[in-house]
Amino acid sequence: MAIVGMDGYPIAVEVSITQGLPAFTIVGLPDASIQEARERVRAAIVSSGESWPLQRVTVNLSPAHLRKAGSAFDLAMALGLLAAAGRVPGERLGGTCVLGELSLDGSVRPVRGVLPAVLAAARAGVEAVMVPPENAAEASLAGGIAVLPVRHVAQALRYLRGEGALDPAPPVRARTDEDRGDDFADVRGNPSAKRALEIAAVGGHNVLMSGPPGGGKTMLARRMPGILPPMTDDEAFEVTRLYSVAGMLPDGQPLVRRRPFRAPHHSASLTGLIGGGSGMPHPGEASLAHRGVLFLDECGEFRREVLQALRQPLEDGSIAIVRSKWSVTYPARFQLVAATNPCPCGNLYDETYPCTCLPGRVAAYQERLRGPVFDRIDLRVDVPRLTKAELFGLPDGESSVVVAARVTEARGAQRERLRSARVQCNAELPARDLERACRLTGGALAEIGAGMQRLGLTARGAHRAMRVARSIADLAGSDTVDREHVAEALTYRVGVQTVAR
Amino acid sequence: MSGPELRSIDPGDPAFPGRLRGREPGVERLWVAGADPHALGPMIAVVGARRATAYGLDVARGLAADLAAMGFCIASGMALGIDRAAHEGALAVGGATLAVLASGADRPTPSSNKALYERILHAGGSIVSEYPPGTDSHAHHFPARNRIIAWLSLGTLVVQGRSKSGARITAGHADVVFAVPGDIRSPLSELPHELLADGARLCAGAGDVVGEFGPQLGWLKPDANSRPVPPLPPEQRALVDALAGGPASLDALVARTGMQIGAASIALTSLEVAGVVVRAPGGRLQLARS
Repeated sequence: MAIVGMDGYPIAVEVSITQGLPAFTIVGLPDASIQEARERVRAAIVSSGESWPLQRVTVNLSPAHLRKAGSAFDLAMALGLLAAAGRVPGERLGGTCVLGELSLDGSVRPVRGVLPAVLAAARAGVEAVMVPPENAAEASLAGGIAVLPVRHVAQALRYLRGEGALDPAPPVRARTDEDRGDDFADVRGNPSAKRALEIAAVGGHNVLMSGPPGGGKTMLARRMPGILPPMTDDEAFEVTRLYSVAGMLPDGQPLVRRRPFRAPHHSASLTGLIGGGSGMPHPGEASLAHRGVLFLDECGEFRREVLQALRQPLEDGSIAIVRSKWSVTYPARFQLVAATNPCPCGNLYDETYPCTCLPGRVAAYQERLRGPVFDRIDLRVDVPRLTKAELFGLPDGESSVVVAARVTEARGAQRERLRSARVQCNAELPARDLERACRLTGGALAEIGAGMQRLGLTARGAHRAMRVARSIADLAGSDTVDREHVAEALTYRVGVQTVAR
Repeated sequence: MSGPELRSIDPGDPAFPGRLRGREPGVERLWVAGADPHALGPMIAVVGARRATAYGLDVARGLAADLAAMGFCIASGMALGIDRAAHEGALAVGGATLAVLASGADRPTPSSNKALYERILHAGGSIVSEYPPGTDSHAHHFPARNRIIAWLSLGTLVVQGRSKSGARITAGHADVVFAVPGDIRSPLSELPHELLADGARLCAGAGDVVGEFGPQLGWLKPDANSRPVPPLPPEQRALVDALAGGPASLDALVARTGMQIGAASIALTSLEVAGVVVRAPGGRLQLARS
């Protein structure tokens, strides 16, 4: 099985043993990692008690035009080779898909991309699949195919000779317990930031949090996935496939149930954030945040072209990685939560501590928070530093479960309404016809007008305020957007001419 | 670059500021760009830290604006931070302002304040220096410059500064010293609080300065605390009352009033639209200056 993007393609491993000087050649567009398989296969066969055929061995991976990478072909090559050499009967290999990397001692090691590979195998009508034991649970998620965990080459040989059976892995029961990660209740204070995140969760809005270091921005962002509605089975499966391709499935938890939270450091490279790389292209952080939250701390410090690259996933919900010989598409529909300090030292606007930045640097720092990616942020909230008295005087907040229940209910109403608009959430509503799609009342429109006239709201800012007001109304269970919903939305406004200091 | 036209005045010149006569160490010559200093009206110096907090900058700007609106000329040193905020406050209300530089009066120093330098001249203000055109600023120029700021002014208002701030020198030369109290947790409150302990006048508003000099200038002290109170719905009333205690973040307001975050947001936006409350950068809310 070769993995291209999110999909597996069946690869036939053909082995020919002919007379000639002893040699071992692999053809069929293998990359360097497959060339190295020669040494692993040779050592593993010898370690499992078989002798190496002193003849000319040629392995062909077909179809030959497809680029192959990775170590998942090791076991298939070893078993095919021994069958071709007549050491084991080959009947049982027909109709079986074989996946696994070999260790020099002949044991079988886990590989990445097992779930999409097994899905493709099942689709191709294959009846059974041999997988490393660590990947057995993941493979079982595919369903409709027998999963045979293989621990060692010798064990597979006994099975092929009919001397022993491979115990099929039991079908996995998806865990249904709600694992929400860190709880919202841990965050004291910050009511405005919590409210902003709740609104964002309802409408799928991207959020920018601004405030001094230590104000709780990261703590809040981490808890964002927990207040989103639980993933549907389809969503969970999709995320699991991605993580399988990335080789990042958590141990003992085949189906990813918890919404992802990814927080790449601001030194991230373009490839690291959006994916790619040589050989088998990796999904990037933006894809790993699919159906979850992508958190960009110190977002102004990210390299400009790296941030710009997020524009495509923010618009399309997917990332196409295009190279001269191939292109793959990874899904990347995430909610963006960005955080920034108000200035490089973080103390600008602080009541107690002076800002030690030179004036030019502050302007340059704030200038970086512009551009197409920041244009897609609907809510902006200031997260001030809490004083000691505030921190210890405040009660615990609401728990994530309570907030998520509200969000889930609001999303239900939203889905009904948006069905005709053919978008998923309020944040995706197109600018044209926004007033009708949001069902703004006259009072709401008047409030928007007042905001534009008195608060320096730009036209684009007005559109964002309408979308956010729609989410607030959804949260309040209101069919129409009224004046007070707009008034609250204006608290989190962006698209305001900033006042020079 | 062609700078502004400079002229020099010495103590023999009738345009030489009377307040600089008979002082030691004396000012032998003053280079002036823009308006004659004596044409700008009675002066009040507003000085303080270069690295100031949002509170300090806001207070400096606000006091300078109020004093300038009453007819005082705001004197300062065009440094970053408080000095700059003071000049800006005066300019914002169309008032008079004067900057004393530690370099030649043809050189905007620091260079990042070039735009401010030009705004001062453009608005009919004055830039003065005792150093000839083309002189760079040197460390020993600053204390000397500070004495001129103090001498030119009826009173010197210190907004923020650490204990060893240059503003202490300005205050040391001043005829009357005012200090604005600050947050006791902030190191920038050291200087004003020390000055207050040493007998400086408390400045909690422009009224305190006017009360000191108004009678000798023949001015009436305005009622500094009067603020028209529009009839407001109860939630808005509660927020305005909470803000009377000083600027606050939305979160702090919610804590002070016990309101729900949504209700508070709605009321605040209405107050903002009505112009009663303004939102400062960084999200702090404060009552608009009436």
